[in-house]
Amino acid sequence: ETTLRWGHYLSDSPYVQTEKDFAAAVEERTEGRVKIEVTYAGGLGAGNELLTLAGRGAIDMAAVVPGYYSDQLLFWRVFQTPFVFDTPREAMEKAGAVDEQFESFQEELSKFGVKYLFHQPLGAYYLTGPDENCTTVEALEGKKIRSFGADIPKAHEAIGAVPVSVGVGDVYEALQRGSLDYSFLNRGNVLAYRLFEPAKFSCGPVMSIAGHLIVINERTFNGISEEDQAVILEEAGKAAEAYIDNIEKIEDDAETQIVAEGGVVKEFPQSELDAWKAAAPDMLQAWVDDMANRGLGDEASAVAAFLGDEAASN
Amino acid sequence: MFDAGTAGIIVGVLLVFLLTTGVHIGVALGLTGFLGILLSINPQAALAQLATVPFSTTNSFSLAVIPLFILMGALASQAGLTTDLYKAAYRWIGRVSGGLAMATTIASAAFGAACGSTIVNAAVFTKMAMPEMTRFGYDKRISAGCIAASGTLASLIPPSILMIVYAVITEQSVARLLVAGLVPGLMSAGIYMLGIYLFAKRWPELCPVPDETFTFREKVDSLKGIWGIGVLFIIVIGGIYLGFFVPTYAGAVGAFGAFLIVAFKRKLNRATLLETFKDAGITTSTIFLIIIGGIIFARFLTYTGLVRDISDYMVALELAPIWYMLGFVVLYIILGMLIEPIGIMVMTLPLMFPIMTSVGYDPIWLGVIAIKLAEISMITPPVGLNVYVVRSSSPVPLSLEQVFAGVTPFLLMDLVTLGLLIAFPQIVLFLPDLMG
Amino acid sequence: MALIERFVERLALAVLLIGGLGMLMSMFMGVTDIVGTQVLNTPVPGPRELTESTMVLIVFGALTYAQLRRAHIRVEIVYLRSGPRSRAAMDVLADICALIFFSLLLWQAINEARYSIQIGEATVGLIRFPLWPARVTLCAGTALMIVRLLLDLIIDIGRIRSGAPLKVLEDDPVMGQANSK
Ligand code: NA
Ligand code: NA
Repeated sequence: ETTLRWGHYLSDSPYVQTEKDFAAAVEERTEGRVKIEVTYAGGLGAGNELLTLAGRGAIDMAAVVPGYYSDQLLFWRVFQTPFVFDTPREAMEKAGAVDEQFESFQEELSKFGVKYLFHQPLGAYYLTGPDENCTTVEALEGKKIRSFGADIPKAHEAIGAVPVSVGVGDVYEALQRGSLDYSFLNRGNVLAYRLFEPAKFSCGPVMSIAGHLIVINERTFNGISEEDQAVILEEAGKAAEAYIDNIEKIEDDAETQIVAEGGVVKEFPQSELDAWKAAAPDMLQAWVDDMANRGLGDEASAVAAFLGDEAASN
Repeated sequence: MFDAGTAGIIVGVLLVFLLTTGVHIGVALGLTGFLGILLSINPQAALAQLATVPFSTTNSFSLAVIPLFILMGALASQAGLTTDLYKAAYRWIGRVSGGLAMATTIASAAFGAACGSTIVNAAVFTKMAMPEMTRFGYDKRISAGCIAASGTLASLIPPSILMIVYAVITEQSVARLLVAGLVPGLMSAGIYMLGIYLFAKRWPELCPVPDETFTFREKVDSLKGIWGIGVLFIIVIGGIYLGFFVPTYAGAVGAFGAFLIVAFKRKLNRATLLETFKDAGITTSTIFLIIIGGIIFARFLTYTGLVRDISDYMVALELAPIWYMLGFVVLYIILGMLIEPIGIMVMTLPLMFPIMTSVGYDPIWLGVIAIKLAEISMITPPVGLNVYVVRSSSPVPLSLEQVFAGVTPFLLMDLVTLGLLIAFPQIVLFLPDLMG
Repeated sequence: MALIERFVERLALAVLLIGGLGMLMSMFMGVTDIVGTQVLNTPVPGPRELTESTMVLIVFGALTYAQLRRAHIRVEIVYLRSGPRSRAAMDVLADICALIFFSLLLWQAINEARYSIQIGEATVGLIRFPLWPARVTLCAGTALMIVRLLLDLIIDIGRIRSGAPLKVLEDDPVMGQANSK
């Protein structure tokens, strides 16, 4: 009998229901031989500690945000590159595929002593602000937009917007007080933080990237019977599938509710999105170049070719 | 390996022993937390937590506002703002019954608008007000008690380190919380003043009225000295609300404002900076040692599952919300006797916050209640940091018992304030709602 | 020993002052970033990252200086009621516990720092700010603290025998509660 301690940086919410379902399914199908206990909200470790903790066996499973480990998860961080994926579904399907097609992804995690289980999809990003003119690239020039990470500020700067780093908890006030013109979050968060109150208009989708990965300590995993290992992997695959459907539903429901409460959701036209992408630097190529400097150019090119077969046409 | 219960008992007993024998609080929490993980999980887990927590706690942007709030208070004090405040308050109400103690409360509350730390507030006013009150024949106990209690006002009146810690742990809006603290902070001060007045009427021999009088002109003159604090408060809180900067930058702006005031008063020199750096560095370091130790200990509690069990148990009871509130208050008061506020918040909020919000309490209001309780813990025996600070920085010889005796009436007044805040949440919420 | 003590004291003050300058710098950077973002519409790159690293410097830089003043917060209720020898014994226990805690911490921190240097760990953002200096600072500050704790341990053991009162670097206005009068 094994109990797996799973450290999660997010708090318990409908967003992690799929992950909860995964834990419950594993426990049920192994008839209680493998139990999974999730600790939310950084109780067992903050976002920037979890991978280290899982690798060293301090916890057994972790939800890992690649952004916190950008010098370690060199391959995985490609899933957080803007303008590579058109939809959350595309990002997720490719995440599942690369792990099978390219050894580098699992090798990278093996260095930490953890094994890949599945990926979390993120709802598409929307611009949310009090001004309704958020459907053209031109209108965004000079606007202060919430930004984070390494690449998204570049996407904002490319159209003359001003990237501002604001924590999620501060976005409401920042929009209300005008220190921010547009938030840059998914519809679920627009609803959760009630951003439609200070900022009526949400325009999008403008960007899709993948979220955190769920990993398990390799030694713990190898200590589980083969039969139960198979169950865990199978359920992980199912969770990945279910996650996409759930996210789409949650995001659509969020939109319905935002609108019901007086918010307005506008579509960001494809032509404008294309103009934005054209103005932005090729960040997938920049990733390949960076990987080449680290001696991983060939593998990275192959990954980029795989990921970019649709994105490249833009 | 020990089971969670056994490990919990061993660690609990050891923690109480180390705390009572005077081991540094941060070290005691960190070491027992480490040992607890080692006993109940495994050595790798204990070491891995020790490897990640110190860096992730200090290398943090959201907590970076803490040293800057401390720097702001240290600079404001170097600029002489506190002396000016006390002088003005004394000239205006010194001759009312208990007026000297009231002046201390007013000046402390006002300095609270530039200072995020309760300890700094108490230390500053002990040096200034203690000799004055003694000179006019005030009872030493009541003087010390008044200073220790008034110092706690710095935590409710924005800016406030405790509020930052609460907002970071619970992911609430810093700006909303800061504004929510203002009215309860002023109300606490008002209730102190009312209490002091009644006390002085009942026992005039303990609080004699000084015979010093001031002309109206002298009173008005004294107001010139207090513009600095007003300016600081307006730029920090106003700046957040006018959208000039996000709350995370409030510390930088406040410290910069205080820096300019020091420069304006021509007090910017090497000696001032040296003292400021020493004060701010020591305060920051000692606070963070406790945060680091507290987080390691909290991780141990999480590992044991104790946290989850208690939380599940409490939610399953399905009691009326007020019982949860009562539990929250009792828990904080008991823990507050032994542990300092940041440690309590780090340990309890991950467990209590979801329960309290799930039974319908407003997270911002709960934050103000938690901070009021934390303030109370600063003056309850046996571990009341403000009491220690007053005793040790007092130029007039004092025993700990004398200070604890002196804070007793203020503790009662705090319970009144707490009761009002719980009974009427609007006191807390109307200002942030109005401004939102 | 007096020589080592003086050396540690100087070094602790020096590190604290560097931390103080770092505090001023992150203050100026923060204000510059606000003005840049709100007035000039051009955010200054790096204030966040710099502030984070500075924090490590302030906290672990002032650690030893705080110990020199015996300013780390402790529960004093029993301590203040005890005679000089018992106090010395309690100080010895406090020194030993702190020594164990900080030695374990240093051991782990060195591993982390070494790994950080090896992979060239840096922050994510418009500019990549290296993280190893902060990690090394954490190690250095902890190491200095350990040296000071060893000195304190020797002094405090001596006090158990001699019954001499605790001497602190200088009277601390803010948190010198251990320095009983
Ligand atoms: Na304050
Ligand atoms: Na207390």
